Amino acid sequence: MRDTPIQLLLIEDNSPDVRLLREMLSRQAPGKFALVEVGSMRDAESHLAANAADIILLDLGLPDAQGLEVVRRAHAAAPRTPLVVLTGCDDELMADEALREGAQDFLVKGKIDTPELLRAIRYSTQRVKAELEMQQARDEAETASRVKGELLAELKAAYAETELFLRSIPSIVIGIDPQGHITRWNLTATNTFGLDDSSVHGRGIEDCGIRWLRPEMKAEITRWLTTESFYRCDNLPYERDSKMRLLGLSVLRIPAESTDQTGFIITGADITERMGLELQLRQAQKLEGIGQLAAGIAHEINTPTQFVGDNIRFLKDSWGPVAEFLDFCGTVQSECAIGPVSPEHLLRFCELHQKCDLEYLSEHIPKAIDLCLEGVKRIAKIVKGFKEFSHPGSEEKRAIDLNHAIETTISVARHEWKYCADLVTALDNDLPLVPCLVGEFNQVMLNLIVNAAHAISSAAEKNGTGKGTITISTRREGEWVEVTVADTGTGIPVEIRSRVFEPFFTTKEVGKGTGQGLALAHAAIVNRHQGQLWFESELEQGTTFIIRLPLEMGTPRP
Amino acid sequence: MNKRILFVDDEPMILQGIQHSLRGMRAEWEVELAGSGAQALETMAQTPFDVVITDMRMPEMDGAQLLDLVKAKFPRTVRIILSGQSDRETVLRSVGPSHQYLSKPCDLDELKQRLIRAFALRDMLNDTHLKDVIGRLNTVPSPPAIYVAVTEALRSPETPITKIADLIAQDMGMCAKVLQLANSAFFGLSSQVSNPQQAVSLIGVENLKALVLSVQVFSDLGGHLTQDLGFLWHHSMTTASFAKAIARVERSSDGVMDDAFTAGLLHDVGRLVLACAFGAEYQQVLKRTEEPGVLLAQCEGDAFGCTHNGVGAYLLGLWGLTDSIVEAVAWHHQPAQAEPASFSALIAVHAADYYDNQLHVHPPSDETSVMDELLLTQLGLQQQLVPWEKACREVASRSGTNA
Repeated sequence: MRDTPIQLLLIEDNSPDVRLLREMLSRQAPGKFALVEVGSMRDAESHLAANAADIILLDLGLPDAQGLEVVRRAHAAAPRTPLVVLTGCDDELMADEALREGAQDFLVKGKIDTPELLRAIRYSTQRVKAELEMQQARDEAETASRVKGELLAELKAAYAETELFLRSIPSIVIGIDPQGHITRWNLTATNTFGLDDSSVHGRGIEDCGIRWLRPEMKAEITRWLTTESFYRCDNLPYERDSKMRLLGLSVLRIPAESTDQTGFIITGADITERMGLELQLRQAQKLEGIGQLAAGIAHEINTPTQFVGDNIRFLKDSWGPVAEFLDFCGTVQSECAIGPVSPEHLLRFCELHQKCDLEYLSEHIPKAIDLCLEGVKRIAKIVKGFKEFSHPGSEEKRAIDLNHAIETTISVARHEWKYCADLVTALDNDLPLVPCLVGEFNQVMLNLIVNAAHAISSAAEKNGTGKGTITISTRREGEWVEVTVADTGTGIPVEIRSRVFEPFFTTKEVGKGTGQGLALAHAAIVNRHQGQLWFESELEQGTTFIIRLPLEMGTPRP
Repeated sequence: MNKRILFVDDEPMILQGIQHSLRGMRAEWEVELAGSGAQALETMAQTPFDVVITDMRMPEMDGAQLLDLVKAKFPRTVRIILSGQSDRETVLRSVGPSHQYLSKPCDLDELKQRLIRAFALRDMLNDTHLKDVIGRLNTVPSPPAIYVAVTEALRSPETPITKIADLIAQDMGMCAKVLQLANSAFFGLSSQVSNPQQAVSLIGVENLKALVLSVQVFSDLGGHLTQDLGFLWHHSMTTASFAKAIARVERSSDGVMDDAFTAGLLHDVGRLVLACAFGAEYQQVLKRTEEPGVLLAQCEGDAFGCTHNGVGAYLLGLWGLTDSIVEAVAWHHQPAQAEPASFSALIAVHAADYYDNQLHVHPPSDETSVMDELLLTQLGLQQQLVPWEKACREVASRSGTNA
């Protein structure tokens, strides 16, 4: 039971009625009600403005208000408090009106007993309470729905932002589930493959519409789906608009709590253009090298051509008088067979003999022949060296004799160094065969030799020194083979040492190099051979470039 | 006296080959060899040489460095480069110190021809000092107006090559120089060119620009001398166009017309050379010719031991210009000396020079200019004099010169 009594406001101007009610309540429910009586509407209103009431009993005939007005005003003054009308007039119509105006019950004085009144009071109170609770529930539901709407809008905005973000990434971003079905597909993927989101969604990466050109694509995708964390796939060919293009992709396993939640993100780009550029650069570098060599070779071949030609000319010029003399010898011989030689013929014989210059010829014709043979040998050697050097670079590593390759490059590049430097070699004769892309290795060596020669020329120009020295050595160093190219040139200034291997970095004047030589040398040794390339340099003393190539094929990058 | 030739090359086999191949000339030529620049200078210091022929690319001292020293120490020695190099850098470095440039591998006949030509003209000059002066000469100066016009045209990237060539074709110094460059293998190929326009296009604008703007293959005569010698350009241009007109009357080939024009332009280049090299002395020579009956050739001979035509021919021969031009310059006063067998550029220049001296009065008058009618009669050309003169008058009136 509740302790606090129910606050009951009785609005009634008729004192006997008041008394009667008070008695009824105190007898039947002693202490249950705290009864406040007011005799007019005005008093009721001022009371309600200051105090709460749990229930209001009211009469419809008050000095300052009558009938329905009483109900209306009381309801206005305390809209949540139940109203029970107590009146002397039994009027059904009025009762209905009063209930519509906010009253809970309509009781007729004298027709009700105490229990009836109490029940009416209890029902009214509970009905109002239920109404209030319902109202509150309605209010709460309304608030909840409003908040839900706001959250939903926020969520939508966040989703749109993520989508936009994902779509705008200039890389391909594809999501796949553990079975390889596409779950996400961004705009770059759409643009790259010409397939839109809706057409690929849910399809396997293998048959989503991309025309893969790798024959074992299924096995490749299996590799993606079984990767533990990260898988890189370069130069993956596919066809678009009847042209072969290349992709560079990374496949990343999405970390998740349980295995059925995992999936993969594939990111990457179409690298056709980039590969094309790289190829062009490599080609340009190669052409630059070949152009340089061609000029050198022209000069190298020039020299033997000149002296072979001169000597053959000498042999030709010499033969004329000799032939004439030999011819005359025949005449003299047949004359001798008959009798003595005539004095005129003897004189002529001596003249022709002298014209032959036989003494000189017998000494110099063998020399001239030797020179011719030597010249032809030299030309043959130059041509052979050039052929070996520019050996069509196979894309596959072969075990090669590094020393021989180096010697070939040295002789091919002779023109580049012979005027400014002596070239010393210290090649390890016991060097094992080294797995190598010989064409690329030769290019690197040529580059290093030419650079060494340039460094020495610069030093000679600057300090007026004479010839320098280029020293090339090879040796085995555990599982590596080490090749060094050392010069006695200017050395590399400290401030540019870190940039030496940068593409397009050059200290040579315009037109004297693309600035690609060392960058490509670095790429050739480090990326394509899994080797190492670095240098040690001291100003005014010189620079040594060191190449290390792994003896094992495919030794991992150190 | 035998001609002495020194070959310099760091490759001993080249030297041996050359020695062998020139063995046949042993009656006239003495060939010596040096394996380096230093050795060459040492050899030259002992006995003088008529010609030094050197490789360009040698260790320590290269060909250009060697020839620079030879030019300073032994200026009268003819300096020739024989090299396989033909990059622009090398060319720019060798244009100054060398007279001619031969490309390796070099045909022996060409080498022989070059040497024979260089030697033939050596005997035209007796004065060793004059040989020194001419041997050192890098340029024949041009009047300031033409010089400025050409350098400005070269600096401007829009100038068409034909305009540059036309400017150069007005000036004897520039014309001689571009013909020297084009007739030598400075740019990899040598060809017998006598047309200055053709020479310019063979050299190419970019090369010419480098040669003119950075190596100064052309030079500026300066205002003072231009006043005294200005008439020479007028006379040489007129002689050039007259000679070409005469060659056209003779229905000569394009080659002969080109030769005639260029030889006409260059026929008096020796006067310019003498005036520049011996300023005051040459002034006096000219003064003497003002007296009646005194001939220019006589005065030149008295003062320098040779005449301006000898000087001009020697210079052009040294620079490797074609024989027909050198011959026409050498003998334009006495064509009979060259013993011509028929009409040639020499005859055209001889006649053109005469007609210009008839039509224009040039101070001081070159009174040695007399038509060799005997020779023309021998060649059956005497009846051509009338059409020749008519053609020259037409050219003169066309170009607005006062006849």
